[in-house]
Amino acid sequence: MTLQLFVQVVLNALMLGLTLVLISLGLSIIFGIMHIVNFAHGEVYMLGAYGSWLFMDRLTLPGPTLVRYFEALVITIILIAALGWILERGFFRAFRGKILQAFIVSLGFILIFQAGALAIFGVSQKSSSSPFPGVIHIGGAVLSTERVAVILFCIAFIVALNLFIQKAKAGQAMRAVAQDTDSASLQGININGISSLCMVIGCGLAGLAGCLLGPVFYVDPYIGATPVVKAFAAIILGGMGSIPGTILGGLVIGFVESFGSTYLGAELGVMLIFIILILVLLIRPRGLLGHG
Amino acid sequence: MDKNRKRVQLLGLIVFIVLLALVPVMTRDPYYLDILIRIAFYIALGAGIWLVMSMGLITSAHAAFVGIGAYTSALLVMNLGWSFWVAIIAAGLMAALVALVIGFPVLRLSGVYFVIVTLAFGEVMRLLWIGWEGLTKGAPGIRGIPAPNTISLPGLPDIVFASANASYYYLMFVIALVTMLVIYRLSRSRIGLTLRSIEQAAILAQHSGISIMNYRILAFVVACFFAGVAGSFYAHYFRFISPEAESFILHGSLYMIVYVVVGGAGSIAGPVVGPFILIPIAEALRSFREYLPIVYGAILIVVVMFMPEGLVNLPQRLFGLTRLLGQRGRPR
Repeated sequence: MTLQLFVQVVLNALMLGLTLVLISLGLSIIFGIMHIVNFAHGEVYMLGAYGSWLFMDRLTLPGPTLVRYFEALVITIILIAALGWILERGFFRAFRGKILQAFIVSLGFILIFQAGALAIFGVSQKSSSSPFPGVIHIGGAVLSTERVAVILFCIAFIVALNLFIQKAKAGQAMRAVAQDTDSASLQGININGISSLCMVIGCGLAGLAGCLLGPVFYVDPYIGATPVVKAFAAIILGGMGSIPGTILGGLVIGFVESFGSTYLGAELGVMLIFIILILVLLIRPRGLLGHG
Repeated sequence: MDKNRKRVQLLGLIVFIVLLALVPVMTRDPYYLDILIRIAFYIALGAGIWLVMSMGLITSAHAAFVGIGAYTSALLVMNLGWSFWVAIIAAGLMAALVALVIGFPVLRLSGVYFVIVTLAFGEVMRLLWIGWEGLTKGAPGIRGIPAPNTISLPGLPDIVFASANASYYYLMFVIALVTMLVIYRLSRSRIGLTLRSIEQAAILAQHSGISIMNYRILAFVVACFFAGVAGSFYAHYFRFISPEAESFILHGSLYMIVYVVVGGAGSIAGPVVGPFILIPIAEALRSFREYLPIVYGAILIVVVMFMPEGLVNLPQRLFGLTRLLGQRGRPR
């Protein structure tokens, strides 16, 4: 195993792990705080990826490539966040507390989003162009610029999210609701508002992850299927209700996938993740850093 | 009055079954027989999902058990020369065995986690079928699976299985009928009533000393047994199986759940109504088949939001048939 290969695998692991952290944090906020079971979370990610293709390649926005990249990012996040708001307000709010019915509703959305994307964009795989072409050399290792950029973006957004949850009033309200919905409501926190906010942020994060990965992997209507399971795996592995846990879980899964795929083959790599998920649920359901 | 209602229902059911049994007499057109065979297929699968749902759980792995049955049956017949008639039972038993093994740890989990684990299990199976090429021939799948062995009974003409003919029709019809019968009896038995009471009052049930886990496992194993049997039929009807077959993968499981929920998860008639309504819709939309999931998804959401008991209750809702049938009080 050469150093070069090892560096690539680690870089890949970081990229997969951190983007998964974004998706998982989104899911953790939606499911962990408001107990909304949105299995269509993966499809939200998929739509984000199409966003990056749509606004980078299909349409021609003003400005040089780098500026267009940011424009695409911002527009996609706003659109996806708006979609999240519609989903919560129109559908999931009615099923608050009714987990299985909410799951079935999200099933309907999986079908609609997948087939919708297929109908609108077609079945052929797309890939969006990247404003970060080429490679950079660090100490003898060759790193793909795009992947490094994605990693940096992820870290920035994860830090920003953490700051928001810790410092901002809305963020603190979210944490209060996560701990105890009734007490939070008694203290005057608007649960409906928090519910919308969670869905908006959660979907926004998934859409962001999709948009970032659009130039890295291909985009087709079915790329959302596995990320949602990996995201649940990350949350469960890391521990429900724990943000550091979700980050840890996401990174672990990212590393397992990267190393597993490289040394065991793509199928075994993914299988390994599922097996880990099953084992965690059976042996230590509260995960690594979770509370009770 | 309740007796009258039950008599009418039983009569209706008998007429319905007799009509279905007479279909091949009225038409030999393989197109129609194939549609009805597929409806019967999804009825058999829906019954199992319905049974699991009566425990308050949703399984996203049912299609995986269909696949297990299909592969087991195909391999037993093609590699070991078994007769289809034995292989179909073996397929069911294999699916039941796997259900037993994973049921023990997994049925302890609650709602969402059960869905996630079954989803993961389904994916693991698919990857296994792709990866274990020595056994399953991998991604290209298995072709040329033989049709069920001809039945030769003394004094009667041979029963031959070819394309979508009446023999296949009656076979799937009987499978669906038996599946529905067994699962219906199970749900009305002490076991079934206990499972439903568990769903509603788990704590009370636990303290009553009922062995929740054993009943849950039994229901899950029975449901998966019939999924395996249906899978065996699938293999020898379509005569080609692969790891990406829609009826073996997550997409298939989701469709199966849609059929049951749209039909009505609260009533044993739900798993029958669902396919009878949704599969003809799929046929009608044949030229627009990329849009089919959108239609299904929209119907599903509308039903869950506005008619959660499912379409099985539609007549009662629209025409107040309850009063017509002499039932006192409002339907629950």
